[in-house]
Amino acid sequence: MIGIYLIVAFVVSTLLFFNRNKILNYLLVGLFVVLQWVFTIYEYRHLNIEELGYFIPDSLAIIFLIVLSIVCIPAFYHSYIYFKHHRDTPRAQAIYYAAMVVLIVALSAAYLSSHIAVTWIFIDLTTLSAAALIYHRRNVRALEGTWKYLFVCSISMALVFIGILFLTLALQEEGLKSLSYHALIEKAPILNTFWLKLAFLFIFTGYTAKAGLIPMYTAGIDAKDKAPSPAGALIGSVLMNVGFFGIYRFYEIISHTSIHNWSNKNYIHIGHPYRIYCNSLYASCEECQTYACLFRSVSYGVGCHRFGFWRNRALCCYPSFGASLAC
Amino acid sequence: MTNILLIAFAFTLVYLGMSSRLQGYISILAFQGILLFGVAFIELIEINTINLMFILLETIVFKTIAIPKFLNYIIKRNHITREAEPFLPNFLSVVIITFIILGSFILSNAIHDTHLRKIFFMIALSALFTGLFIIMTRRKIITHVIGFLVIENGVFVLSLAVGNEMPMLVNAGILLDIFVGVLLLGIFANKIGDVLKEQDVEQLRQLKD
Repeated sequence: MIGIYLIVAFVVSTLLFFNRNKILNYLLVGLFVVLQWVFTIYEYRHLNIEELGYFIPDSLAIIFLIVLSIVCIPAFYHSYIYFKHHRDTPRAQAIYYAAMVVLIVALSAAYLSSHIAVTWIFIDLTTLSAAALIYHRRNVRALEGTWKYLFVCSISMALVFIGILFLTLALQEEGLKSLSYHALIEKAPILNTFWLKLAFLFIFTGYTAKAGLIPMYTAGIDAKDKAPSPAGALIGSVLMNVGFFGIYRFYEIISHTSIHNWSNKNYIHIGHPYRIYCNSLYASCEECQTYACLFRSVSYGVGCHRFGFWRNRALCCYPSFGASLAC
Repeated sequence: MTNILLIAFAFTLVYLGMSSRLQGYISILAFQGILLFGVAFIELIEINTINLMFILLETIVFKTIAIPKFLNYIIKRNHITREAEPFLPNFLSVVIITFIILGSFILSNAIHDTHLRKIFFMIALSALFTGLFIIMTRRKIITHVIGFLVIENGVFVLSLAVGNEMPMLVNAGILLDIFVGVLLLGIFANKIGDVLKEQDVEQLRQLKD
């Protein structure tokens, strides 16, 4: 099913990109929403069955996929309202809808992927599509927001890739090759903890750009602000979820090793001093009050997040964090 | 031979700190591409031919020819001045980059792992931190892109260390290269040139309130 989903979504986004007819545009968007829901229901009914060798719809993936499918309906509806009031050129609308479809498809595939490198590839693809959405208004500020988002996200994705390479070094020591989450969790207790620690630090730092957490949270602040509101809502909710999803998948592996406590403590120790430092810095700057508010919301998110990890129930608290930021 | 190429790569990092002209930076990037081609050719001889061809094509065509040409095109098109305009004096940059390489060397030697090829690890870390240092201490947007490309080269070195076992990861790294190359350079460096009069990070400060 995921193969069909990816192909049909690719065709729809291509048609949306080239099409300039309004009615056909809405029909294609409607078709995509139906496809998204059929796909979600299909995956829900085929839990834990591997597809194409790299995708497994496990319970965690399904929860996030359902949230994504729910959020995409108001996002498309409000996009329709947005274009009704703004009267953008047909070309700008076409790029907007095509980018939004690509973003949702990349997010769905990232949630369902059972291989750490495949997750990384699809999360990287979200940067491309989100950049097109942020640049929608084509003015200086949108350009600045897009540039910052692209640059910070690209560096972050490079850091994640370095983390995956460190993980590979740990695997090679034990003569293993598979980077699927299932194999990694199974073999986690015998992996070299030094490489795992390094991998955790790099992967965690890299994915914070997407999750809107310390230290790379700056990527998303201007992006959410400068994108059209419906796109900003997607960037502030489901795109942040995918960052958390990447961190949580790796945390799942770490939780089966002896460095589980180290990763929890490390997270808390990095968070606190940095939070105090940034809050005091922003408080002293009169021009940075929006940033200060946003930073505080990120800090609260970190508190929530940390509590979730502490209780091993990160899933319960994270959607509320995403929702609060989206608001 | 691999060691010699990688040590030459480390020297190019020091030269980055020394160079005050953008043309110098671009030449270094092209030279790094050739060095990476040499390392990839020696190291990845065991993987299948298609993968090897893909990697070699990427190092020579993309890193050595396409990116430097494109950077030159952007500089000419946007009338960017030749000076790199660092915040720090070049001498200090050289000293800091030397310390970065020295620190990476000490860190690599502190790791007791028989499977680890320390020189790859050391060069990759040096390139990563040097790239970050270039981004932090240079004023122009184009030098930020160059700093990122240095990080990319470091990532490529590290991926070569695991390349024989997992060629898929090297390909994924190449995907990252192409993705960023096309997107960052192709679209936005040009667009920024059209919109902003000066190609300076100081111009990107409007988003605050």
